[in-house]
Amino acid sequence: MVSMARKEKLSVPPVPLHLLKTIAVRRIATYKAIVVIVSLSTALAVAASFVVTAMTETMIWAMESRVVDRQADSGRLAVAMVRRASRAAFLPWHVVSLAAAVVALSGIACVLSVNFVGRKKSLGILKTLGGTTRDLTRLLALEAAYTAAFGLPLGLLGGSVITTAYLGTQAVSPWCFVVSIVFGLLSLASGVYLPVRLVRNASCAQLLLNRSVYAFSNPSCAQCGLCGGF
Amino acid sequence: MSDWLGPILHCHEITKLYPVADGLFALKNVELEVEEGQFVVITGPSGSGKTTLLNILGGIDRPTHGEVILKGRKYSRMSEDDLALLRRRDLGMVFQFFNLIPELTAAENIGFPMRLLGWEERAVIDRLTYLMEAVGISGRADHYPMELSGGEQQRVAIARALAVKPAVVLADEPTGNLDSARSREIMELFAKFNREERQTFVVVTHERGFEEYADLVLRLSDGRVAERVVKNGQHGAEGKTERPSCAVTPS
Repeated sequence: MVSMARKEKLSVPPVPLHLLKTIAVRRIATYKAIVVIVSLSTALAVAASFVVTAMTETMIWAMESRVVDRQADSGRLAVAMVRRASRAAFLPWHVVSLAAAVVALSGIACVLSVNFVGRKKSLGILKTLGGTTRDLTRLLALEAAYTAAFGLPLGLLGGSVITTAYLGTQAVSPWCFVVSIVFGLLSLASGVYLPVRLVRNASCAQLLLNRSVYAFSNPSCAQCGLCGGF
Repeated sequence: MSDWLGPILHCHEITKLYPVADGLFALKNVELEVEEGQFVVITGPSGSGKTTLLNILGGIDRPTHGEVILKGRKYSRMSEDDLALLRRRDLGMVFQFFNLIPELTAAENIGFPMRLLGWEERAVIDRLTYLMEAVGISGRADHYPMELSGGEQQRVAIARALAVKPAVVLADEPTGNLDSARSREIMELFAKFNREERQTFVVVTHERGFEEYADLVLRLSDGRVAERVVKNGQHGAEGKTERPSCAVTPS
């Protein structure tokens, strides 16, 4: 039997993009769109208003330091600068918005990562039907892209509405949008990174039979299993 | 029909050990040779290693020792992605819990393997129409899996497994979740495709009813082959029965 065995490189095309698109769009539409978009909107709104607050504080500080400059020597100016900067950094609204931005960013990352655990089996089904690791990675990337396509405009709109309501129409500068878009894309990238890494390390059995998947491909991880995997 | 002349599927001394303190084995030295067009039924009590064997035959799980060869290709020499491509082209799989893609309709689920292989749309539609009619779900083409009953979902899963006329269809407890009437329908469906398309089937089941359709029955017990019953011809009367000497006493 061994002598009968032949070694052949299998050549079949990757999963057509339109199939992956169909799955990605329907999945977003039915499951996680609301959670992710709400998180993204909140994060972007907070990021935008944080930038605006920081800009406002900096402007006030600059104006006041010029006043101090005229009246005092350089030693008193340095002390006043430090005091002003500390006060600006720890203003309640400033701290709350920064904390909220961090919570929102980790929220998006967690939603996307935990989402992976819930869909291990459906990724395993795709692999059972012949999807390769590259196909699954493409699917996850597509889902992130569609989420960004829906989430970013909504987040920017929500962010500018909230900022305008609190700080007035002139507060929303183009920089707010730039920072918000970077912040949103960073949130999505951090949320997709772990699932993609897990998919790359997972065998068909791990996905389909719901066995633990590990972020690092070190074989001792699978044997140790202390962290429990995903 | 395949261009391969030897046994279409061969598994040689398959052993599967689980890494626990007492060295628990799920399978021990299992031998199986499946010819093209054969209907093989693997039976045995719960925990006898049936599903583990089927997962190994499907390249989903890897054995601790031994080799599986499908149409001359050794699984041990293949990467995970090579195995995925092998399943895409040469294996159809049916599961107890159907495992349909929830985001796709019944018709899209059945057409999925054909589109994966880059079939032309005309050929996909022709095969799709034939299969949906054959399994009796023509009226449910645009329904999502969650809108279908268990029996209908299993029919979709069977049609999907047969879509690209794979070398072998592996079915794991395909009637395990269905009532007896639906089970009988599914069995008849398997027999029909085995008869009409000379489709090779390996079916894992705890139901004795499937044995009447089988050309070869493999009875597992405690991870070993307890009995091998070869029937005469296509779904013929019972022929030779072998009981391997090592089969009786589990370690």
